[in-house]
Amino acid sequence: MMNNRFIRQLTVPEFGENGQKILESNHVGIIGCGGLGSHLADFFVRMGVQTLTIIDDDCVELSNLHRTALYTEKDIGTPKTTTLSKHLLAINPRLKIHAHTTRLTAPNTEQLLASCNIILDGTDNIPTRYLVNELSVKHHIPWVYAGVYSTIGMILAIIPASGPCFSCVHPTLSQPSETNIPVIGHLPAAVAAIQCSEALKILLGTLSPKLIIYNLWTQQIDHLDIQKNPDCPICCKQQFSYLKK
Amino acid sequence: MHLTITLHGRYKTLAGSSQLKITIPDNATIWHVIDTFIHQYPEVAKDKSRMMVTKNHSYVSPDTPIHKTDSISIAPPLVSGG
Ligand SMILES: [Zn+2]
Repeated sequence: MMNNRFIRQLTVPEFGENGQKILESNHVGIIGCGGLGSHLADFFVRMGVQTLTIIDDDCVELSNLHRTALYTEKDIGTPKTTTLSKHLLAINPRLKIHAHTTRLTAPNTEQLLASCNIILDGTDNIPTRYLVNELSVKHHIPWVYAGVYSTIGMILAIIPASGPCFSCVHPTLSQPSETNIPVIGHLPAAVAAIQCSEALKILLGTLSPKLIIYNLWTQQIDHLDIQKNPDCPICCKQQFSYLKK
Repeated sequence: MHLTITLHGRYKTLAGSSQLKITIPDNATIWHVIDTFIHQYPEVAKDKSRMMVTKNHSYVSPDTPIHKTDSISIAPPLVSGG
């Protein structure tokens, strides 16, 4: 049965049986269970991830439903983590899922994520990404940043040992003042799909990370080659100010 | 000095090209590049403090001096929605 389950992706040359084995043996962490995070969890569990950590402190709201995977109107008011777990276990009852209904903060970040082999970003704020970046560098765990705005998505795979970290790309980015940012409903699924590809290539060891800027409306895709900053306080000097807060 | 900078994302769409020729003082810093770009495309002014500028493929702060042989690129700020 298991072979039948994945037969259609085992025959994809870029992925194959090796990719399947790697996917099934790695522990994936997803931070945030909204637009990006719900699609990421759905993709990874359907593709064969066996061990998953999900983290979010919010409940499902009506205004989430246009851009999220799996949630329904019946789920409104329930914690995203427990509800997403329920849907994911319906896809694969053998899934080992660690669902944490909490906000990721400096005191709990290492405890919740240090055992992951790769981390996927589904958060909605910049400070959490700096926190995850520090964890990534300190514990040598790759992660894949992604963000969405309107019809645009940005994605960057971060492999701290070999490439630029999030702080190398922008060391002092502030949180935008705008609240309720515009996001067209099908954008998070598209961006999460790209993020998923980047994560798979990290696990397979075939990725050359570049910042990807994708416009879902115009179908333009742009790649930026950004190098490690030799003066980066995080990945070159190991100064972890967010983890110490 | 004359410089051709590379634009990314919606900046490229806005300019209709990935390349933009600008003229800045010989002792210019990245600030001059940003200000010249905003002068030409005022709609990007709201991004001023957050836009991502690289020199020779590395992020640089706006106070960084530039030389005519440097490769400069500008991209919109990293987006944060999830
Ligand atoms: Zn760095």
